[in-house]
Amino acid sequence: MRFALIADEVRVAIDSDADIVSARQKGRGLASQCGFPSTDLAVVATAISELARNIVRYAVRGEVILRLIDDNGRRGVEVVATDDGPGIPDITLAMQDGYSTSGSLGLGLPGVRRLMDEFEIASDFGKGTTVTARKWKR
Amino acid sequence: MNAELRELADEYARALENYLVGRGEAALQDAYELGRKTLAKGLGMLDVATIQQRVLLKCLMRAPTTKEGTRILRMAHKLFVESLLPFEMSHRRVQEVNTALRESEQRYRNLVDTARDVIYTLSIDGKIKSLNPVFETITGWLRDEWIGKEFSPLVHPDDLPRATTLLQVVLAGRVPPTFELRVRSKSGAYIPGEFTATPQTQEGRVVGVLGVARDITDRKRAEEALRGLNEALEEEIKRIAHALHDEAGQLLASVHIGLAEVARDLPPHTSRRLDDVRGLLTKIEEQLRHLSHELRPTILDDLGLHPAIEFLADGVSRRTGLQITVEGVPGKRMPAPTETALYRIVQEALTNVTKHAQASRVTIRFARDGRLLRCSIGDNGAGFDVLAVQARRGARGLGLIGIQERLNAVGGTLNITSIPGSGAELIICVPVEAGGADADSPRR
Repeated sequence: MRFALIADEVRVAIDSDADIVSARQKGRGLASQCGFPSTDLAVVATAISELARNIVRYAVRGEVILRLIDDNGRRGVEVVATDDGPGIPDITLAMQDGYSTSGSLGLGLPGVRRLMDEFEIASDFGKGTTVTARKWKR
Repeated sequence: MNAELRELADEYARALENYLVGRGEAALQDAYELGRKTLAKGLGMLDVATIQQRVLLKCLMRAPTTKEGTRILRMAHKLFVESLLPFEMSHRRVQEVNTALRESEQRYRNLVDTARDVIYTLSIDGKIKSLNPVFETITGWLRDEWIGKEFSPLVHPDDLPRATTLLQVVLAGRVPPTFELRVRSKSGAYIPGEFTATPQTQEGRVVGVLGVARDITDRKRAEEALRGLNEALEEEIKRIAHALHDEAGQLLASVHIGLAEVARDLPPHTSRRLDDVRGLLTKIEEQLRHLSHELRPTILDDLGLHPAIEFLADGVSRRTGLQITVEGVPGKRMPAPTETALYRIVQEALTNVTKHAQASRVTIRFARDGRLLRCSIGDNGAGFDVLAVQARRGARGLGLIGIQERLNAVGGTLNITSIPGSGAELIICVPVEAGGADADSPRR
């Protein structure tokens, strides 16, 4: 792991739309512990929504891992969305707006990238996808 | 408020109610999904603001106490932020696209601003829409002096009809081949320019012209110099031909007379050996005369291209054993530079055939087609890879460059067709005055 963990990580299994709400709640809770302003809490919740939504839609089953992290005194929230779904054949393409219907509006994975401070994606075609996004406290 | 908005407002009201009664994250998620849906329907952020305003007002009016009202306001704000987040994402996308567009625009602007060729655009009514900075360097005009104005005063009056026709061609959506126009500079001098012009289209409609113009002053000067060089060469050849024919010829004649005198004083058997020598001398004389005629055939000046080519073909044929046929006639006499150019080109072509083609037959064919004289030189030899040979420059290029340059000087064109193994054909076209195939006659 690249950053120090401040508290135990929280894992939320994503199986249905109801799990999305749960993951949002946990993420919002962690971020507010860290002292995020309320609009940034909404940003973190949004990122979780979009990532969890992708799991439900494309992979059926996966997990959202939420971490409070510290980088030399700078605090933030790390959202990791991982699934063992079909994977993404072409990540560059998938990160372009317009790859999916939601993407053409700026939502989906490209939307998460723009909302959050850091964004990483790894996908093995056939072996699932892991997206990591971080938001630092301003 | 229309039905669609009312339906969204009802949903929003439910989410707010749920949130107020403590359903927390689920209600926030609903608000977020509502915003997402609104965005997907193509509605705007202001619609969401209107919905929120309505729902909130209704809700506040029912609030029993100020305290409850304050709580409602605080919670409604959080819900509102959720419903706006999809729009925030969309907005960031637009910002990112705009930045990328600006960068891309900057890149192209740099390219245009630093280009060494003039890049111009015209509107469909022939007005200049844009010019890049090099226009000022080349022409001395300020761009502002011409932007928004008709392009026509910039073009040499003699070139203007052609320029106007070409504009129509481009506006019809076609791309004409590269063309040359003389452009008037601020000093009044005309600059030769090589132009390309392509239609600018928008949604399938031609909305203007985009073109590139290159200052070809240097190339024109080089062509001019080459022409001068060719002319000087012609003069020199004339001088050598004259020296061979007249001076060497006269000397040989004197030798003949001298030998004849000597022969008279010799005994018959020695005299016969001298006759052999005189026979050889006659042959030398004949070859010298032929050579001098080929170098600069007075026949070309006196009788015209056709007899000159026949004479040339006859000479080459006798020297090399090639069977050369001349078909058709070039017709009416042409200006001296054109006739000389054609003669030299045929000469060069025959030299090529002799040296490289391993051919046994050559056909030279003339045909007149209106204002065009077509001359083809075909052989039945080994042929060659045209593209490869044309790509080779200089001495190994079969002198094709020299042929091309000669043609440039008289406005002619060169085409070569060849299939390796089945011979080659050079096809030359030169513009000539319109007119019938008059008999060859001495030039006045």
